[in-house]
Amino acid sequence: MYWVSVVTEAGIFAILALGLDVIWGWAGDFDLAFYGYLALGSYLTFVLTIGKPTPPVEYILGYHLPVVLAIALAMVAVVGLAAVIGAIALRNLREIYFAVTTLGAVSALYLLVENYTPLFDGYNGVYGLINPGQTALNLTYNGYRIQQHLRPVRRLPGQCGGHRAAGVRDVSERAGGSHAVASQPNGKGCDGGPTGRSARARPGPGARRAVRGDAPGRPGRRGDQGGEAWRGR
Amino acid sequence: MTTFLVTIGIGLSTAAILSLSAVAFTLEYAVSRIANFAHGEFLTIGAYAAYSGQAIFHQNVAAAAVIAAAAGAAAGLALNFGLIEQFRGRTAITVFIATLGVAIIVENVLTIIYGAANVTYGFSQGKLHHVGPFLWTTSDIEVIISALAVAGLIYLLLQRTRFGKAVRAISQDRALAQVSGIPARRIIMATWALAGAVAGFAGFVLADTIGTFGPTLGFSFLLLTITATVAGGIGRPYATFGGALIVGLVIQIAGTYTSSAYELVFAFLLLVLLMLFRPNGVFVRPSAVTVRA
Repeated sequence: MYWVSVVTEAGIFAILALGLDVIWGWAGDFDLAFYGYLALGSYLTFVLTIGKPTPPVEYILGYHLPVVLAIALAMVAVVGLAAVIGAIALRNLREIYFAVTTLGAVSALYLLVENYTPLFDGYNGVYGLINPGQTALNLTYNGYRIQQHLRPVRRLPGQCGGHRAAGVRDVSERAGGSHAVASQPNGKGCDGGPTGRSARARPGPGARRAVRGDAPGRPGRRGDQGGEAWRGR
Repeated sequence: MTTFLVTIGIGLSTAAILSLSAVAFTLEYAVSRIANFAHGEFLTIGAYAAYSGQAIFHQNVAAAAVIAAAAGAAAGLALNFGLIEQFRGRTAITVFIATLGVAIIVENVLTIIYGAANVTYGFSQGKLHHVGPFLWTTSDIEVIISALAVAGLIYLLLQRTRFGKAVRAISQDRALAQVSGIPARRIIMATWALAGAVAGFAGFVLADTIGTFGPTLGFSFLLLTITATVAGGIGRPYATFGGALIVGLVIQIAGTYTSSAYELVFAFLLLVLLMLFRPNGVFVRPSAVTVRA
């Protein structure tokens, strides 16, 4: 039981690491606002699924949407936030300037959420997030029978858009573009990818289920593979 | 109108503290070419050292200030010797993450020692004084005078001494300075000690001005410090004072007319505007120099 929670957490961190690897490892920009995206994603999923707030507690929206739809909407919103921060920070800022700007962005976001209570109830925070696996997929701590219903997610970052991102980094480091032209692992092309580049970096419904359903340790290893796809060459 | 003038007065005192912190940050950048994210911790260490020292020295403000500066200097030396010099030649991001790690470690060690709850100095803020149109407490005036004094001392040190000349040489090109016979390692050490001392003192006056403080004192001040440094032009100590003045006044005025909780949000907006339009500081024309990154 305890180890299940540890592995679950490890899976979540693995997803986060995958996302950071896209920004930092491939594109070469250290985005400190990254954990802000995580925060906004979970807050939005919460307010989209949990329903209306009861008076002392206050937060925006308060819808009763299906969990999967809520996660999808939260992802869209977070992609929007990342795009705004990126549009500012990536204009002509690299290295330290980029890191400082993203740190500033996430600090501002943090303060806004903390102090502006109508948004997400400020300091008090919100709780009672629905566990989607519990009901919809009959996923409990006692068993991982769910595994057989899910196909492992094979299409991971590193197989198409990733090379372009690595190319961006290499060009900006003026280190030559040799990484950027590495061939596709598994012989898979870019076509037919189920999601967009940015969406893949974030905990989506598919990735989330896969991590919950997979055997322990699997997410981490996959994360490494994603990175090594180009590093090995 | 009165509110506005009082706000300006408070803004000036904020700017004074900010200028101390920012000039230390920019000195660190000038000699080591890294953005020190453990800089805020120098302030916290200074503030807590003064807190520990005040009991021994019977509420003597000057003694507390000296203790804060000494602790900051020790922290500066330790960080440079233990980390910055060891990581020399690595990419800016590597050092940046290392200093960020140090910041988190120091913050948590201070939490272990002093607890997470806020602590308070026993120093009196003094009477209110009307100075021209402004309304300042005695300690506000002391802060502003000490900031001006530190600014003057740093100017003299950088412009009129061999040490200052060496610092300026190293900030332009460390390797070239070294082959010219300047003991770069020693000078950089001394600069970090100086920056640490100034930051430690800034931490003490910041904590005293706010009234209560906790282990996150310095880190939450870091964004303001960086904004002020960027406003002045990173690595340019004199311009930093101007940058601190701008940032101090902007956040104080904006904070008064909205809510003081959002001060840092305004600091970030200012930082973004500066990064986009004047990445080398407001005192340099954008086309004059390219961004050093």
